[in-house]
Amino acid sequence: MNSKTDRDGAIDDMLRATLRADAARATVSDECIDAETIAAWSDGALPAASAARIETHLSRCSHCQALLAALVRSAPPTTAPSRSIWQRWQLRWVVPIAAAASALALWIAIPSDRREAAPQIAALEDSRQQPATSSPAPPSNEPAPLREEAARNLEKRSAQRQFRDTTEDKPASPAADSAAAAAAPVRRDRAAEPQSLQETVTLSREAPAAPPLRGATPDQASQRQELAALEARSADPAIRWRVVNRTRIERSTDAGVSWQAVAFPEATDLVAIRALSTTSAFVTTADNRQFRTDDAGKTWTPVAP
Amino acid sequence: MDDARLDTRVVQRLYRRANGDRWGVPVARFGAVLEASVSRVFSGDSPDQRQVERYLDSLHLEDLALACACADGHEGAWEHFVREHRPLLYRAADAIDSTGGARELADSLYAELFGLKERDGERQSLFRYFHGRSSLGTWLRALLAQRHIDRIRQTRRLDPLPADETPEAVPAPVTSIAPERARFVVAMRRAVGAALARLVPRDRLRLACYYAQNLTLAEIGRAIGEHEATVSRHLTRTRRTIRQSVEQSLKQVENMSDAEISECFSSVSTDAGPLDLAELFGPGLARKNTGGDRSTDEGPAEAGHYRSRGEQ
Repeated sequence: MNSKTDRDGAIDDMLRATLRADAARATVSDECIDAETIAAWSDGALPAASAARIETHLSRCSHCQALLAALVRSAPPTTAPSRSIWQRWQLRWVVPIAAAASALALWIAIPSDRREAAPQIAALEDSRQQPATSSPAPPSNEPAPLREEAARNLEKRSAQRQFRDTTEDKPASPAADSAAAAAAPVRRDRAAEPQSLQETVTLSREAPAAPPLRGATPDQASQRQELAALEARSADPAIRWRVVNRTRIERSTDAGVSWQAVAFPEATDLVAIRALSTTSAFVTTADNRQFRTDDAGKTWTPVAP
Repeated sequence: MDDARLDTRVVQRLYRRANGDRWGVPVARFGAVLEASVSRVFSGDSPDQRQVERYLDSLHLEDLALACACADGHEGAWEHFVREHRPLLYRAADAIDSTGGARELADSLYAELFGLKERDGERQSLFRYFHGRSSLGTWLRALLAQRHIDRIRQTRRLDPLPADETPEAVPAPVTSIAPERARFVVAMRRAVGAALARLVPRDRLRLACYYAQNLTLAEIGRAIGEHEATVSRHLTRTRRTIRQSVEQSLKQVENMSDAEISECFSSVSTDAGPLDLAELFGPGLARKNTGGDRSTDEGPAEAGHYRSRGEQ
């Protein structure tokens, strides 16, 4: 057995036999880690020195390794998107790309002399339709000051939510603060966008991606992001629905200032929510089933695929 | 820090952050819970005020207030806890044991959390062991994992061990093989044992998680905060390091020729034989009980290929 690959294979066999036999003889010692400590270690909440001590013990103690393994296996799944990134990308870009392609095709197809004449024709048509197209802004029933106030209110609520998220996530380092600050303008911009009065589905995660405490890991941070809320707004801006921690549904009747829990018949992962009206909503589970309510969440009915 | 007296202003501030009044937790009671948490963490130390405050600020205060209220028997808090955490706990139980065995553990955990046991007329809720260092959800999962491991150990102690797992059967029957080959196997075990003992804790932990606990790369990554690709890379590197270390040891310590070293590797590929790692890692792990964990005994992984997320 001279090749490195073969020798690596032999080492592999030996490690498996050795480490598995050691695990089979797992025993408990005074130094073994209790549930509270391993939970704190797992959440990255221990100071570096303590975390290193725990890691050293874990590396030698088969009993605690088994505990760690069970803890890891019990973690909620971190990825269960209802649609793949590719699908979301497609949906997001299909309209602008199609529009650009059409424009390009027209540009190529139309002869240049007709292209030069086109603005004159458009100007003539504009002058004919002047009364109808005099206002370029989209029609709105609300006066401008009211719209501005609504935007301000939305911005304020967004800031409150950001503060709540920040305190919940407990950023204990300047890096965490700066990450939250960096995320803030994005959320403000999103909140200040004019809200469509039609059905709106918010699939983006609203919690800031603040890194967790000392020793916290990118995986744990991404896990936190995954557990953030999905929110859907109904036709009435005051009525909102959201899925929190992918386990529970909440409904707000005051535009997200306060939330009431809504009972859901199954203990399953919820990955999307869609508001149809003020009392009707759809939720999608991780295994792609859909449920509908038409009585503000009192009852849920499975929707046939 | 045996007697941790906290500044009342600090307690008030943390109480507000924890929304303690939502569950009607008295400020003094919340302060006592914070003090208990500080005492536990800084036991034997004398931290300054800033250290204590920094620690307290890092706690999961809302969860701590909820746990405190649940321990005191606040009905609304308990309802909230059941609504928020029951589904998570059941899912965790199903993930730990897909046959449903861990569900019973989850239910019995609820009974203990509720405090069905009484001592001196007082309910003894498990919540008193929650100190807010982790989230309530992680703590519950850790409790469940611990109960699961304990139950497996108990079951294992009561069950007769299969013949191929008895301590007598664990060491390879060195005497039954050719004397020359026995020498190779013993030399290999010694060299691998020495190489394992030289590894840094994180490398050893990765190996143990992968080979002994049968975790996937993604799960190992989640446990120690690395990407699964990083875990895979480190496992490959560690195995290479062990191989090089073994080769060097056989050459320099055992004075073996290249042909003999080849024979050593050949001999363990047919008889890998276990090592007693407790001997290698010293007396730090003084053993009290014997027993084991069958939950991880799910069959070996493919040699030379690390399982990834998709292969779970």
